Amino acid sequence: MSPVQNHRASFGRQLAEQIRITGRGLRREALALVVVLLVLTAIGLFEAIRAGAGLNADPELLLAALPLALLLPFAIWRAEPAFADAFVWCMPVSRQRVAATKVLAGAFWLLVLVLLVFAWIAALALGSGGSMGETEQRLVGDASTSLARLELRRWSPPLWLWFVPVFSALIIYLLASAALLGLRHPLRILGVVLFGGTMLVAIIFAASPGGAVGQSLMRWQDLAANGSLGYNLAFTAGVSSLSGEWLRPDGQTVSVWRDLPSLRAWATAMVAWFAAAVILLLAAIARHRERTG
Amino acid sequence: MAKAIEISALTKRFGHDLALAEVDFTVPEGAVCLLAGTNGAGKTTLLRILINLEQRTTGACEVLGLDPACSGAAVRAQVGFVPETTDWGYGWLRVGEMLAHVASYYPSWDLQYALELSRTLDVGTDRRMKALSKGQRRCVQIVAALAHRPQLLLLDEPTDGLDPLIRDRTLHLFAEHVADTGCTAIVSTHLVPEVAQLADHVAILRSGSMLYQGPIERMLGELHQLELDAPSGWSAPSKLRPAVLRHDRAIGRSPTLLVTGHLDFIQPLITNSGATIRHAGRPDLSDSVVALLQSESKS
Amino acid sequence: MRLTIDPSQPRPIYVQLMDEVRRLIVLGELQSDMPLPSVRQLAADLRLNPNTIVQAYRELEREGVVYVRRGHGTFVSARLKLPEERKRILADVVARALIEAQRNGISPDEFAAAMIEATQRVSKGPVKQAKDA
Repeated sequence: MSPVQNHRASFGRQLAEQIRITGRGLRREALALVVVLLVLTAIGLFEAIRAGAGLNADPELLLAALPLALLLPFAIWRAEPAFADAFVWCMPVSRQRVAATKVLAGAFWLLVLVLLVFAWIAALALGSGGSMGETEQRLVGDASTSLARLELRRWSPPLWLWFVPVFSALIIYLLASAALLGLRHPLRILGVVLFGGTMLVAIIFAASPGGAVGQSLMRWQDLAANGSLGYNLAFTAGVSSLSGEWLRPDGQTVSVWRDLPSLRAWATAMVAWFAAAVILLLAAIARHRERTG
Repeated sequence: MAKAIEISALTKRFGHDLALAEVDFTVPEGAVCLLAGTNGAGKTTLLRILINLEQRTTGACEVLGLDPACSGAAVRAQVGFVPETTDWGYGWLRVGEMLAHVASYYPSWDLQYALELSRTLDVGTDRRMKALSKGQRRCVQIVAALAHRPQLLLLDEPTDGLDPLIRDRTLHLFAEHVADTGCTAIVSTHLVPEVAQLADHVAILRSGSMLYQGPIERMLGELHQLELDAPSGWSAPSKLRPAVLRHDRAIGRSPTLLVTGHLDFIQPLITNSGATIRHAGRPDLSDSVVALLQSESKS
Repeated sequence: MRLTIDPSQPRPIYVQLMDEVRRLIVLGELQSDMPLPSVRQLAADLRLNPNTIVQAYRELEREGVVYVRRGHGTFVSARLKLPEERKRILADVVARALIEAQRNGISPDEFAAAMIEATQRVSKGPVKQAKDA
């Protein structure tokens, strides 16, 4: 029997090919995005002309890429489902490697997408005579006791804030990819969890409003959202969640910031979520391993 | 002789459904094996297990010396697979681009050969995959399977959907390819006559069990088509009945029997029952396969 | 020169191939030291398994009808005695005819008598095609 030769192409070559082919597969989605951007450009310019001033860019705008990051894995895996028959599973590559190269290829195109959206925002802002981030005065401090103890601080969006949506998009993309690869019916399970969870919470609050269980649920929710590893911090650096509306004695409402977005706070939360996403993805890919032994 | 495929006691369950039950299957290197059987007999499942598109439940399986469950990718690198389905996705790709993409997975891809195959099968490289008919997509799959000159061909209904001209060219191609490369081939098909000349081995599956597998010459050597001169109302003697695969009560007094076993044993039984053998001949493969499939359903 | 085989015939294909080669030799289409088609070519043309061709060629070599030159192919033997080959083909044709006759309930004597009558008709009239007879 002639020895089985090593007929496998290198990982690098397979990744390059996967990037190419995934990109080709997304061209309809890319076209749709271009159309949407053109429409938004038209609207934006119309607004700018009407207001007589330029449009100001803000890192928050780039967060619009997050829903796209969530949908991208569905577009990538639509034609080649992970748990059904597909051409790619007949190829002489281990299923784990196929899964890994496809996810990496998608991540590449995600970064391209985010860069594109950023470039568009910048072009629109600078082209219409606006700026890449307004400078403003913000009231910072704990307003729950008294409004008198607040500080006024100058704030303009720092450079690192523009990178937040990049990492957020990546984390969401990795989580969605993990769901698609790890669960046979991700949408079904997600639907069941959301519906079941909502029903459960509704029942708890209806049964005993203001009760102990309800209170601790609310505490958990606040921790999950706004804690030091909370999702608001990880995904948005708290650009909107750190602020709240307060009533002044004279009847007017004012925006008060618990704290201004800080690089360290964001980085800590982001790294934690990123690590979790990577672990979940690796577990999902491992589910497809062609067993040895 | 070296074995390209060696399977023993292979079982595959899908939930409660037993798709393959204790299947033994051996194919020597260089053989062309016809895999025949009823619909749902497990032919496709068997082929898929050979390249780890399905994982077997129990049993041993060795393909080209490797266990597909452990070294699926290495096995697939040596195999040209034409699947049952013609839908590969990638509808937006042109045929040439699709083949280039397949080629990227196989360092042993022979571009010249791929072009030759495409020309022979009338595969236009400029058309988009989604614009092709089922038969044309099938031809693309055939090119993709043969062009990297694999050691083993697994063809699941390869001529399904092909027009008569292309079907003939495909058989010509397979014959040439087998002669050129000395590769082993398993062809799963309902059209036994078409592949009968190309095959030298046969395996017959029925409801997940292997009825018969081995060289075609051996199987046909053990079967005899007997034309009898018998009185009307004659029926086979009880000692002979287990050997009778088919009994055609045709017009008049001449029944035709398809029997298995040695003529030395069968002839006296027939003579003693009042009939004479007018003619004993070799059955053809198609008839034999059908008779074997039918006979087991009686038991 | 075209070798043909009939899959509907009960004879194994390699036997048919051997008979075809002998037929062409006896008809003079294949002469001594002429090459036979390559295994690959014949397998492709007839959509056959190459092992069938190999088996036929090997049997013919064993019987001294052909010889093999490594790397060059299979050739018709120079030492072939045509009359012997013709006798052999004749015996095969007769045997097949007798089997067919027996299938139709015709005794060998009846068959022989009918043969003589038919050959007398043939020598008198033009050659008839098999299907008109």
